[in-house]
Amino acid sequence: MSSSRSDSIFRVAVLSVVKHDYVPLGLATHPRFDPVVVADDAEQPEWVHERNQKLADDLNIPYVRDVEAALRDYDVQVACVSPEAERHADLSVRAADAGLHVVQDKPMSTLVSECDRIVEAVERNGVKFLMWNRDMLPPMLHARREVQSGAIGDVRAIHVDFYFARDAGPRRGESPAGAPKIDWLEALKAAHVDGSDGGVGHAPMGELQIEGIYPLSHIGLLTGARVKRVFARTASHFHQRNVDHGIDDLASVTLEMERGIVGTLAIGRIGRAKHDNDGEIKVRILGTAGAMVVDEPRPAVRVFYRGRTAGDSPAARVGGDADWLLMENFAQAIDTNGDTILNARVGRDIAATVQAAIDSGRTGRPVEVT
Amino acid sequence: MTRLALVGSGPDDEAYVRVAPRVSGATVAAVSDGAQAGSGNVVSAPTLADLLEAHADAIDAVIVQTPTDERASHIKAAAADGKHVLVKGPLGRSSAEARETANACAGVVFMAGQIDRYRSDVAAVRASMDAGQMGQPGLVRSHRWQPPPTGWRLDADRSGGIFIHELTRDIDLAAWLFDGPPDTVFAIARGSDSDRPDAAVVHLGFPDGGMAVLDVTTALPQGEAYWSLQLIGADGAVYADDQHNMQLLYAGGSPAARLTSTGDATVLSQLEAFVGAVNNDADASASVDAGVLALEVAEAASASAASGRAAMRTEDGYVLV
Repeated sequence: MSSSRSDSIFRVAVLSVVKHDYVPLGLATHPRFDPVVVADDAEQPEWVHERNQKLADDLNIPYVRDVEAALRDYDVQVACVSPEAERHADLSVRAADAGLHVVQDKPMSTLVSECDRIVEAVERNGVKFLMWNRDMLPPMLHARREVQSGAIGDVRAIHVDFYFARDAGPRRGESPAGAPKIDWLEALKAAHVDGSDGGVGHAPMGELQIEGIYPLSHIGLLTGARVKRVFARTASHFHQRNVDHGIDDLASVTLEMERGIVGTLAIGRIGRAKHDNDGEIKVRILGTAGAMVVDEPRPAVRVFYRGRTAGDSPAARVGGDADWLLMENFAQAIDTNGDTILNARVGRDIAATVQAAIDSGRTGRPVEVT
Repeated sequence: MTRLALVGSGPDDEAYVRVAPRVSGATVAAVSDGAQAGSGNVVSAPTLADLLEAHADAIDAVIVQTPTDERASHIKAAAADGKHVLVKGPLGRSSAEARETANACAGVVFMAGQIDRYRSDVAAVRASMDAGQMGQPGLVRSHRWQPPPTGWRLDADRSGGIFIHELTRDIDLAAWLFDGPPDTVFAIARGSDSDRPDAAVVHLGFPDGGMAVLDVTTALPQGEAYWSLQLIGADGAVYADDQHNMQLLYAGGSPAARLTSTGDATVLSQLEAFVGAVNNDADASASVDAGVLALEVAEAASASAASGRAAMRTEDGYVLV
């Protein structure tokens, strides 16, 4: 790995990009991060290679079907990891073991044990790790400033709504009687066209696993407290594919946190018809001296026009520089040997919280986060 | 004509006096126990007992909003005198007390106040459900933040504390929107004074995967309260939130947000329902059953918060597991 200076350019290897391209494209908004190669393992199926090749073509960089060769031959310092969820840990660990700093897509992994493996590799190799997140969105930075200024006193409670107004195939009960289970991976591959394929992977994942890191990261950002215990309710309420696989598309979680802080989370892939934006995403914070109600999708403009379809959100986020700020945070962490806004250890704790919530939803009992 | 007596003082005293003439055949004719009716042709007595002794023929129904620990005796006294009863707030300090009270009111219209059901925004939520726009409810989420209570409401022995005095309102709404009792109850309570929690979260599970998360605090700085309610259904969603109804006031510095009031709409709707029931001699027992259920769930929530365990509904009531 080459040494870096505050004005140095980091050459980036994009290690698989089968879900979305928002992470490598977001990374590339920062002039110090230069994607120079896309790479993946040769034995991956053809649809994976096709998606990798597409990004390589879009960025006008080569696609190499050999991860180790790409890391060796392209003088890269950073890996951008975005394969199917089950391969996140494998590629991140291999990148860290090659001495690369890692930016990784969500979820950190489908297994907490795999998150532990990332933490160990990152710390053993002394590299930086950033889980992609939404904490640099303008309202979150605003909320953090208000909290840090003492405007509402010490935080006592935090409540986050994180509803994605996206569809996910047939609604619950729409499949004909006796129909075979919806194939998870094939359904998500098909959903790639309209960008609604959250949770690409072989093992079915519920919304808690797919999106939980975003609201839980908001909670960590604004409280600085770890979650100790959770109680959750989970349901397959909207989509047949979630019913078929017994996974949640709607969940609510109560969080008992350090310093006596209480949190709650409501999360769901609720369907396109249920919001005029991408979904209700809101953070409510109660402190000893006041409270805040924060809309995450602000600032925004509302756009209406003749011929607008029901699927077109009239609300468009404007302003802000979340992707650049995330990468600036990552660059500073590398430059100063500091920490990233969402490092491997915090990401692992969030994955453990998600797993505890899933377990609580299954048992109906509160569960310790370990 | 339904001649009403306000028994006990509450924040809506003046509103009842204002809206009563708008309700067919209703008027506020009497007050006792500190209730205020302003100027007008209204008889007044220090206590309900005095009122019933001196002016029983001047009233047909009472609106009881006395402290919760006195409520049962006032309800029973009014019912024993043949007066119909509307109760503001919990029916008592416990579900057992509420059941006993209800049994004493068999001969009159006895209605639980359930003031939040009559809010304009909640009525819109319910109307969308009744119109079939929501489909099967999946999640109800509410937040109610307000400044600390005053007077007897601060005394948990009198008011029942945050679970009874406050959360029965939110529990009732959730059970009403799900059209039945929760099968699981989990709760957390917090407070700077451990003897008097001033914040609580109640997490409910309903049959078929339904869920509700109810957040109440009474620790907001003095000033206006905040309220929000969401219902996420299989086919639709409703978001009622004070944040959406704020107007901005610019007077130098940062702008202030001011909530636009819905006026007397809530009290008017509630009074129309009560007077309508009285005029039609309607059976209001469903509201009382709901009030008792809210107390049962609040008791389970209190036990959950104290023990750190969840409670499940059984044939014998809620049991910690």
